Amino acid sequence: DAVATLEHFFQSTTTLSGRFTQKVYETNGPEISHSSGTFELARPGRFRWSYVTPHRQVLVSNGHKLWIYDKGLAQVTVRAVGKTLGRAPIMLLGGGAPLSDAYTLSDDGTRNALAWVKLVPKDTRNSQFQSILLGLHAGKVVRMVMFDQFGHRTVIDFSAVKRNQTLPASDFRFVPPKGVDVVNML
Amino acid sequence: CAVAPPHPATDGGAAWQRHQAWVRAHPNWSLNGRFALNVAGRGWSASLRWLEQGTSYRIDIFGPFGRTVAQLEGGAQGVSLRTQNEPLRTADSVSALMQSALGWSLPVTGLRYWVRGVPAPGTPISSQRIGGSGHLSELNQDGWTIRYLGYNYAFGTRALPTHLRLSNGNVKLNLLVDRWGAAQ
Repeated sequence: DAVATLEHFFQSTTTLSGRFTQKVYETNGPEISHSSGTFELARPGRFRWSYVTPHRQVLVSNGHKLWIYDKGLAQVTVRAVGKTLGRAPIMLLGGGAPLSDAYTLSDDGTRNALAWVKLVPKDTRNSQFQSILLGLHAGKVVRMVMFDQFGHRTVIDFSAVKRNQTLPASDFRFVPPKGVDVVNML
Repeated sequence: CAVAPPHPATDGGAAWQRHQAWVRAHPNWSLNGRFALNVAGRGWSASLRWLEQGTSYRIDIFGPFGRTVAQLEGGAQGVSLRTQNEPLRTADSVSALMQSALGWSLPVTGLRYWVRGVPAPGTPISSQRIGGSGHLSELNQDGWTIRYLGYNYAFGTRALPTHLRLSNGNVKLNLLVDRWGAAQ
């Protein structure tokens, strides 16, 4: 079933890279924002999430530090990964611990040619989303739908995904460009 | 860029008067943008979607990955703020409310006007500089210095700011507007 497929995908994936689109919707449906870019992921906990549209922003984690660089604002903030990102969507795919540690997983049937798994956080107090749906196609996660406490819905679609390629460690370090304001929040 | 000599506060030229009149005539607007806030070396950045409907406003603040960090609603009856796991908070002063809930705040009461390139009504203007194109290039009001680094024609003929740098003592706010819209 979809839960077993998801767990297999999780255990057999060490790196992922590809493109994404991200849309955030209001409770009653209108789109709030739309962005897209590329991503790289190396478990556990390392990723590079680069927004290209509508503006250039890069989030890089080496598993300990998280750099958030916004080109337009010419600022980099550096903070400990810690809990804040503990249950961020990216950590769903890129985290070290099995999903069942933090979520209750259940098969949510098949819709628009995807097999769905529903994830409900076990610790609802400081989880960032009320529930998450992962859509699988041919054994791979291709869509994430996240519902937050404000009734907003974030939909992330993955494409051109490559699995288990070797990714250079330098991809998961961020070197601030010259002249950029670095704000250290460690 | 060549900046015209400061116009006296009242005059500022016909284009400047037209811009102020246009803003007064359009109380319903929305913007998508992002900001970097720096307070004595500590920094925050987030993106936001601001909706204004007459006297009431709603500001959704998003963190990385489009996650909603907070939702601020204000109007004649006061202001409320919801964060992820805490009960709704209400207060009279929006910046005090943000400061207690988020640990940082935006000068919302002034920003509602400054972000549209006009001074806030009902508060003295320490100084203002109108650029050659009839747009505000710098404003000093309420302890804040606001510099306008970019405008674009969001509503056909009307140019609205796209990049503002605000400072007040050790607080620095850098705000970029990605998209202007009429409120849905």
